[in-house]
Amino acid sequence: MAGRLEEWVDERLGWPSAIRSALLQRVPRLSWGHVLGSATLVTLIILILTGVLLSFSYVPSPDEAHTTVEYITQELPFGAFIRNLHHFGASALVVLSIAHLIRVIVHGAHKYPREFTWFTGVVLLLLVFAAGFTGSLLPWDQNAFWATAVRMRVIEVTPGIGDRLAGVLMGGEELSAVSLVRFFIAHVWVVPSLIVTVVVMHLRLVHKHGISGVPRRGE
Amino acid sequence: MNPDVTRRSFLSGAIAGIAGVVATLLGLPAARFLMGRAAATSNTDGWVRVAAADSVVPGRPTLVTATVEKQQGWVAAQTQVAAYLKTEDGAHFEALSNVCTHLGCRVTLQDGLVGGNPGFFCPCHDGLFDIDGAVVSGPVPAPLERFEVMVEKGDVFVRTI
Ligand code: HEM
Ligand code: FES
Repeated sequence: MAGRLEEWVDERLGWPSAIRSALLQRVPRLSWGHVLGSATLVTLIILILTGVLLSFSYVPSPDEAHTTVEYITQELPFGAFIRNLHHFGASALVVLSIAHLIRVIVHGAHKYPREFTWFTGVVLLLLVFAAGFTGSLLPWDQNAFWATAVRMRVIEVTPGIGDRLAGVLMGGEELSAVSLVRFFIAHVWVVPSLIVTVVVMHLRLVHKHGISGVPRRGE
Repeated sequence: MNPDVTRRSFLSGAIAGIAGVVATLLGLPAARFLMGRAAATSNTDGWVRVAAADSVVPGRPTLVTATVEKQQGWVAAQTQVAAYLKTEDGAHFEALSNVCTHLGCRVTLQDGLVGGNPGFFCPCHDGLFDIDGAVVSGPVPAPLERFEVMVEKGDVFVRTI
């Protein structure tokens, strides 16, 4: 029965064989370090889910940003839980991405033919930083504001384009209501859609090349 | 060893089980989070002062309004409550809602609508109520809602929730 249903779906949509070919791969001898990529992915999924939930009750305006964040943590059921998952998940994503990167270097898994897997991974790491950078302004408290103000001064010293770049990011010469909306849209829309796109490319490459095993002496 | 349980089927089952636990631990809080707080809470016990008793003309329903503060999410919003107050003797009052029982538009008192007498007319779908709020014609399913009324020291209070 289940087999016939699966066949019916497979003939029409092709999902069962797509899932089988994605999951039922032969893998070489692996290490616990190999879980880091998947752990990064799961953390990313949790960040997206909690981020969508938070955005239901967050308003990106100077008058309301902090009020709504307080409302989420103080009033909404499980609001503190969801905000904390997002907050600490963001740090976990950075730590896990870097641990995953180190695992890849240690096993030499970035070499031929996996250069582009590595390259998309580097892009992902930068995007993860971008997500953290844009997200940390959103609570609009003293810490958020001044931490971002300091980072903007750092961006301004980029040779040549520094002032322009900071101006575009902030939508003006200093942090303002305009900046808050820009950071919000970058954080919930621009950066996540780029991350998801590049994660798909990254995973497609991992699947294409197969996972590389733990290298042995003499190989 | 149960020969029916292969390493593969055991692991698939374990993975599905763990995924289910994680989905529940995230999903239930997420659902409660989206439902928010059960209902908007009002800063009053429901009684709102709407008029001075002697401002209501006996024999003719008078529209009265008042502002109440309601907590809607993170905003303490001002919302209007409205009622038609009726009295014959200036001491006993009735309060009718001005919200049409069809689809919620606001009704207004107009003269000569019901056999030459005033009635409540709803412009949205031509709903018509008589001066006591009873259904006369149109798609309206029920009479206008009545609020509890009380008079205290010359002020009329209604309870709209
Ligand atoms: C959002 C961030 C990332 C996600 C979700 C992610 C996800 C994954 C997953 C699931 C794998 C499968 C193999 C494994 O677990 O080791 C993988 C492999 C790989 N990742 Fe990432 N990754 C991310 C960031 C990065 C970064 C920052 C780098 C390096 C700069 C990188 C480089 C690679 C490489 C080279 C492989 C192939 C390893 C192999 O075939 O053994 N990834 N990634
Ligand atoms: S809403 Fe009043 S008649 Fe339809």
